[in-house]
Amino acid sequence: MGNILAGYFAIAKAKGGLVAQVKLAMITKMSLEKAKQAPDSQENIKLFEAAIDKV
Amino acid sequence: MVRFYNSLQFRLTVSFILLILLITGLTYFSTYNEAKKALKETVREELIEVIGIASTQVKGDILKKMLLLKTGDEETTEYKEITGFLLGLRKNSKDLANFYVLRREGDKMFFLADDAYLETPDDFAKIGEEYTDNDEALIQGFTAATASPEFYTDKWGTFLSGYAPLKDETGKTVAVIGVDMAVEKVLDKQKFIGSLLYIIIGLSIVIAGLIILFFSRTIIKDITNLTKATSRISQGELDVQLPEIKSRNEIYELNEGLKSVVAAVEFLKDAAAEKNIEQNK
Repeated sequence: MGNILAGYFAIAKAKGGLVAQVKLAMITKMSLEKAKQAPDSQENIKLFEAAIDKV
Repeated sequence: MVRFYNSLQFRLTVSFILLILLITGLTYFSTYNEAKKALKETVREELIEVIGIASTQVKGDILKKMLLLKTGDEETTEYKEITGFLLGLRKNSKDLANFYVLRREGDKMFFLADDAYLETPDDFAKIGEEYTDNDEALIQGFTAATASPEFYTDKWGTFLSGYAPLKDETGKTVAVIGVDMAVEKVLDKQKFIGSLLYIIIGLSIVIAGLIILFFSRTIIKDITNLTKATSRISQGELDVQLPEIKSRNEIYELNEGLKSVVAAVEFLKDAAAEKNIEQNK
């Protein structure tokens, strides 16, 4: 549960460090902890995919 | 905590009510006054029309008999015939008070006949009785069919009257015929319009009340929920469930923005906590 979503925070960190992770949290409206608890649904993955392109 | 009298709900409700009262009040006064004027004008036009027609009926023998009447002739057959004729002119109109005929001698007016004789024998204008409360339209009535511009009061009551000239076979004006409409008849019609306006205003207030209720239950409720959540966040509670706003309006945008900020703060808080743990190892 939420492993795929949490992985996006690692990608963001690699792309732009802490600032990129904060941006990702803001766009998805989910903190890392919330992302870990959220289901890896198609909808959520789509949301994170779109957000990672913006950070 | 927002005090009740400072709340958006209270202020919007009060503003709405004041606005409704202002608009309906202005509408009532302007509409009612205009309706009153229009109604009076309609009554005047009706009186001019009625008296114009009536003046064409008083001719030939009946007019000659009328002009021959002398003081004290009230009990004669001729007078009864004349007043019966005048009464017959208004039998189909319940709004008209009475018909009468006046002749002019210099600046003075004297009654020749009054159909009130047949209905109220104790209170009618007798033959030769001078009419002193001259309605300004009465003088004009010797020239053409006209009606009083305003209500006037004499010893028989308050009326709006119509007047028209009576002409002999040579075309000379010999008298004037008048018809009265009692003020009560016009006031009854005005009251009816007033009541109708009250009903319309009452309905408007009820509809406006329903609109206020709708606002209270949708927009204001969303703002209230958002305010409560923001208040908890300001106290350090980041794990607050922000409201789900269905309408895609400004409040929705504000709520979504707040969700982003809360997510960012939560992330930073978690990151700081994680860093602390790592430093303490």
